[in-house]
Amino acid sequence: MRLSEGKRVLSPPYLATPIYACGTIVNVLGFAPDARLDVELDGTIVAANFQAGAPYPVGAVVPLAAPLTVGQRLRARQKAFGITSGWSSPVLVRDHRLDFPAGLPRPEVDPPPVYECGSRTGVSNLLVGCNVWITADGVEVGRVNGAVAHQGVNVNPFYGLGQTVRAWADLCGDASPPSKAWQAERYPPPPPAPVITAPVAGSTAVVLDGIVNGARFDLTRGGVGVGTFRAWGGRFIVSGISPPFAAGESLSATQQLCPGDPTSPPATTVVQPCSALRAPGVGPIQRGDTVVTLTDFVPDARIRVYANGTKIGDGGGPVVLLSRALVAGDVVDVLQSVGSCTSNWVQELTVRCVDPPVGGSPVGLDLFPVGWLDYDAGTTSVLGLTLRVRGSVAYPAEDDGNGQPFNHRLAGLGRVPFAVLIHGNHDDNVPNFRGYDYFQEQLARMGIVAISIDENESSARSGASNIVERAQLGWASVRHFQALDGGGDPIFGGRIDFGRTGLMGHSRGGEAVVTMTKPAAPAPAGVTVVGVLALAPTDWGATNHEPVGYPFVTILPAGDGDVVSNNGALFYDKAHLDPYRCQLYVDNANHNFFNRQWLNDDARGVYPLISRTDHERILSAYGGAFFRNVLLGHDTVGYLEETVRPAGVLTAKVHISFQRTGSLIMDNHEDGNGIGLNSLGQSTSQTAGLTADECSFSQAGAPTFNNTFYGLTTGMVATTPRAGGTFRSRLAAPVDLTRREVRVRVGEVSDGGSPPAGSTGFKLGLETTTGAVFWVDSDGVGGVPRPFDRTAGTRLPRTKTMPSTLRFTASCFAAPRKVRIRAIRLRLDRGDNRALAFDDLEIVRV
Amino acid sequence: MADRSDTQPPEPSRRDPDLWFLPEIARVEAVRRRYDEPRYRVRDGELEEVYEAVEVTVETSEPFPQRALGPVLFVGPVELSESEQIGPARYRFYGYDVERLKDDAPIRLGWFGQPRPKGQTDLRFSLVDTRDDGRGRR
Repeated sequence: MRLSEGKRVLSPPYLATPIYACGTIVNVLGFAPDARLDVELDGTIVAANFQAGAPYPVGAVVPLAAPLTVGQRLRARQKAFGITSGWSSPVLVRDHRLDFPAGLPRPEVDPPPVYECGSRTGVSNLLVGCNVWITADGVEVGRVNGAVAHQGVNVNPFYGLGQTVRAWADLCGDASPPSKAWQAERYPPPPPAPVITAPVAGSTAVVLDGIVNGARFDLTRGGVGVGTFRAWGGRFIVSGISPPFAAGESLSATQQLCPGDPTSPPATTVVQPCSALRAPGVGPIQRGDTVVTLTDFVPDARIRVYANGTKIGDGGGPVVLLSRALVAGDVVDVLQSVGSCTSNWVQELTVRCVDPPVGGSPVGLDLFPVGWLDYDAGTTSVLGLTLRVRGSVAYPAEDDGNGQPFNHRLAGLGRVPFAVLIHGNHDDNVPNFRGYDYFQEQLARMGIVAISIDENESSARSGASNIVERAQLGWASVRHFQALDGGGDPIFGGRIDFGRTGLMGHSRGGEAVVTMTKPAAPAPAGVTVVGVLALAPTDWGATNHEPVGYPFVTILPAGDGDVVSNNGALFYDKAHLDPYRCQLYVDNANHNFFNRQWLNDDARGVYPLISRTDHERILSAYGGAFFRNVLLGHDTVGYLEETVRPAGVLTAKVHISFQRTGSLIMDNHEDGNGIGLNSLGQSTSQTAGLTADECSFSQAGAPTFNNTFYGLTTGMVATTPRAGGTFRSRLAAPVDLTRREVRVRVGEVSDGGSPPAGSTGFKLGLETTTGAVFWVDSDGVGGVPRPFDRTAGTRLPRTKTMPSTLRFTASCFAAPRKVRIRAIRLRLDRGDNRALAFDDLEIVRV
Repeated sequence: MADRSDTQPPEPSRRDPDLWFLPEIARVEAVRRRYDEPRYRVRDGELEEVYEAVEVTVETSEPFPQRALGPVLFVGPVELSESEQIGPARYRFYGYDVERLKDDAPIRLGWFGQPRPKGQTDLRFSLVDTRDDGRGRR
């Protein structure tokens, strides 16, 4: 392999953002090891040739002579290998009060818990540049002024057993709420031996794992002490070791918490030769990216990035800025080196047209402590039944705990939105409503009042009327909170904005929350439903299946052993675009594991499952993104639209259908005009052996292609006996695809049995007004998902056809700029004789 | 030197309850009943009051599992999906389209939304009584 250094490329570093006024540091990242940094403030270099040290994990913390003020501009550059990089993009200093009007986010002790004799504590969820401090039993025991986002704080004296440890932060005199309180526990001595990752020759850093939170560890090299280090637990990186390691050197480490207690057994390793230096791990990259994000790399490595053999980036992890935007099809090689040791291996990727980046966690917004209450509002009459109105509520509070006062700073900004959670039918000896406490807490800490309603008294009945009963019982709880809100309740009086009410229901609760928007269970006066999430909903027939008047999301566990028909697909297909709808079909997920009280696997172990934690993360991430959007107005729809992926989620298991209003729908096959015309009334054609026709994508409709469709819509199934069969659909008028993308819902048609080996796919072509056709392969935009094999199921062992949305961004097509297209083609080019199901072919403005 | 590595097959997976278990019918009784206070049914997505129904009370060998789907009673071609549990193994199914329930129709239990169970049944529908005792919803 030939990799050219090309032009003398040295990537600019980047600044940790956002940057807020009153901060006294700048955190610079992405530079080469031991680079020198210049930092410029409003055109004046305020730090010159700053010795940067190791680029990871903290980067360089450059102190400033004076606190920053709003409107100042900062940027940085690096000098290394005899080259000076360009400047980083300038960053404008902001007022944190604009982003956090209710005060600084709440610090998090990270990782918890803390231990007796702990000497250092990690604190995260910090604004860069803030001051952070730790208290033990109310007494300050450690502080860092000018913190980074995840800051280690040394503690003196060490924690005493049972002390209450909290973290605090302030900026510009604006204080955060305290972190959650942690009691210092006794860690039974001796702690385990830490784990040392063997460094390679030339490195000046070593990675230790398995450090007990707050422990101190001794590192020796060839029997000679390198030093004693305090660590916040988990992983610790010792940087700046001099001289660099040589192959064959021995390293040893022990750790200890309380002085006088036994130390851990020693961990040992031997420095590896340069040949052991592996290739770095790289996150997803897609066309248009101007950075490469590393997922696994040596902390003090120089990272070089090449596109088609020519260097376009040179810096350090975890993010390297590139000298040009990547183009679909570029072959990217990523190489790491430490000292004089350059790896023999590169990580090579081909740039996809669409491979969305991993963003943050949509539920990572941690602003407020969370208060909890169980409520019991007596009884109400529902469909002639007398039922108790009760459940639990989580809300943004002054501090954590039962019955805490409402957060006064948030209250000072106005009323807060309301989320209503309804469980499904399960063993009524179980407190089913407590099963979503994790999600309630996540919503509350964002500033949402979240109730979960106890509907166990409805478990004795079944039928569509039972769904209406559950829906009306849901509104009874909402009326109770309206009474508290309007009646001067000390916690909730005047606090709740019922005009921003979101609903989430699971199983029968999922059908109930759709029913709560129907005449059978009308909302109380003053309540406006602004979004509904139906998790594995049933379909007892309580509704006409049409969510209308709000955004709608449904989650369908592919391994559902209870609602085996995945009835949520019916609701998705009938949901109005007000303004969007979203369906998540989740491989290896079952019905129950989203509820912490539902312990049994409803599919009885016949399907391999992701963990319960991963189930919860899916509800938290996508449900959090949804409620942030509809209740708080945050720009988090991208997680549902899959323009960005949530961190910490097994996104490869999640297959998303998404549609929003305002697109140019070329064909949704709902118009009854046959396969020969599309939804624009324009002609279609089938050539080169392809056969396509409109079919009902349902169990009940006709005609059907086969019995593996579980939705409630009409679509198109196309087959071709040989590669190249093509379907063409005309536009009514030429369309300029600038800032637009083509989307189509597509699924590999199952025959009900185990899916055949290997994936299938197709090409989508844009036909221009001059007759030229530009193609992009489905594999370049994420690929056609494989059907989830359900043949092991004890009931309905039929593998389903479940379409999901693929996005073909206009820039993927190697077409001239501002080209106008007159038709879209779908070419089945795999030659595998597999049928593909298509629906909702549309052009979307992005 | 003895190898200090341990190995064994994974633990057998826990036997979770079978959600699809259908108990046997031990006893069945059908009564036509008129109500002073209405019951409710959903038809075409609309909630309706009803003042008359056939109540089919079924005693089963064991309770049904509690789950998202629920039991249904097939009376010939008619599926009764509205039900309530009125005892440990005693269920009442409601038939609102009274005229569709025919004497001597075979009776079977099943799960809502699932294919009709196959096989023979000796149980036959028989309306034993008509009661107008003024009992309401409860």
